[in-house]
Amino acid sequence: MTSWFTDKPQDLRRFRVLTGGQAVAEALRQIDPDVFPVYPITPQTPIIEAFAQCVADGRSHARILTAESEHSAMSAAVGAALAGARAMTATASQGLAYMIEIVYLAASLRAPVVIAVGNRALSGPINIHGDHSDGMLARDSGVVQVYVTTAQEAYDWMVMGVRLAEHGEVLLPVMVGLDGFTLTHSAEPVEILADAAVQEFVGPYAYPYPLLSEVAGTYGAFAMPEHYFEIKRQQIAALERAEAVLPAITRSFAKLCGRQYAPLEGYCMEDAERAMVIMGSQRGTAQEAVDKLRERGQKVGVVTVRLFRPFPRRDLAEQLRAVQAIAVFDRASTPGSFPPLYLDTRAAVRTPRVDSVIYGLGGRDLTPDDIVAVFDRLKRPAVDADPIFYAGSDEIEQER
Amino acid sequence: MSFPDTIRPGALIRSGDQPSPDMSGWRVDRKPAVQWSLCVDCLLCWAFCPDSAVVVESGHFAGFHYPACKGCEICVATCPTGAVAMVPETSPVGPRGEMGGEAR
Ligand code: SF4
Ligand code: SF4
Repeated sequence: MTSWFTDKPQDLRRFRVLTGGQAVAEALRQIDPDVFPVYPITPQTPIIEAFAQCVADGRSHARILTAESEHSAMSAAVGAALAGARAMTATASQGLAYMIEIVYLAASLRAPVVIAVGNRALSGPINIHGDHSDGMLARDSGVVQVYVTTAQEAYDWMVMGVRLAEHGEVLLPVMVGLDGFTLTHSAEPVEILADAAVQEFVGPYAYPYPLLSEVAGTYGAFAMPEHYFEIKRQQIAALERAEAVLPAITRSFAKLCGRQYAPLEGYCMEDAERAMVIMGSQRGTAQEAVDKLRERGQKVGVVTVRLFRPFPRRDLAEQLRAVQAIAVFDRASTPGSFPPLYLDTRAAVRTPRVDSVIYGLGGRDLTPDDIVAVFDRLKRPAVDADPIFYAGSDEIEQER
Repeated sequence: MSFPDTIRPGALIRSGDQPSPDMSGWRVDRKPAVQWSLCVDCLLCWAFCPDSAVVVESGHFAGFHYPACKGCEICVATCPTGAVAMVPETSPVGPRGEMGGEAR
């Protein structure tokens, strides 16, 4: 059997049918962090249930700290990471909202905590289903953000995330986002690497300036404007370096399993005249719609962004260089302005026609027909009066 | 290396990174001094001094580091035995404010 993104034959014995949540828990078990401070929240719960079972069964030496809130869980993770212990956690939605203050701190204190996020809508109204509005809360915090498209990718990026977070040039939290329910609770075949291979890949935790060392130090001191500005600038530079060091990490990961990842991925982009940009689990739907239109002879393609922060603007510009019209699909909104992925794409390309599409808020389905309709819309002149298209709400005249 | 390259990742600060500031200009004519005969070496003055002006050597109270002392009198208020008192700046006490004998 060969998988869709590698030509190498796969060892079927390494495949298990797992939900995204279970796949993340498998990665956690194999990475075997020292500390896992956590607070449960749907749809992250399958991750911590499965991992807690591993710890209870003696299959991981991690200390699970059941904190009284996400704010405390993240605080504990930051403290542990700076003290010299490998710390990881998982959250979603309101939990991430409650954690966000410390997520900013984690980035500025350079605590390399890997955080799995089961992306879910923010209240209100209260809703437990998938969208990216929780992740977007952390967009400007300075963490590395990855949005995966399958359970396999969730597993793979948790493992690669450790290397990326702890890279000496980076030292930043890495947030691995997997869409709530669509990925966290849906089972698919996932290739699990050998425990030893993962252990060797991530290596021992070696924070360069641990508090538990011979030399005393202070993290989190007050900074006057001159220092604050320069510290922020260093932090921004570190996040930019994450993009530069990623290829070496993805290459060494590819040696383990044949899966070679990139910050973004084009599908049918070679000769595409119209293209869409999307992030997360709806990539499959997008590719299906593209296949459908290609059968009708239409030159359309899709770019899936995996690495959202730092934003791979040069790679995206390269992918979209020859495209005449683009539709950017956001699973989050920025009320009063354009949504995040749209703005980033707009800033990266020179294409005159870039439409914004908001889809899937609170878990609303995005159908291949919705996508076909958006591609049809791209053929017609832009409607300036209505710059944002709401998938599933707005009617589009279908092509005959 | 000069600023800003001296900033460590995470803005980690280590002892000795900055020279301790000269606080002596904050004092108004009076400085703390210790009456050794009353001192029981409890180190409460050391624990409470906000400016690390209380010197401890080999685990024992060893007087005041005047350049760091701002004259807030917290040590006077803290000392349980009345061993610390404020004296005029010109008092002929020792270089670390020693008075009346030797440290225990
Ligand atoms: S007066 Fe005492 S407590 Fe205040 S700064 Fe001087 S030594 Fe420290
Ligand atoms: S001067 Fe007073 S507070 Fe300081 S060590 Fe001596 S007895 Fe304790």
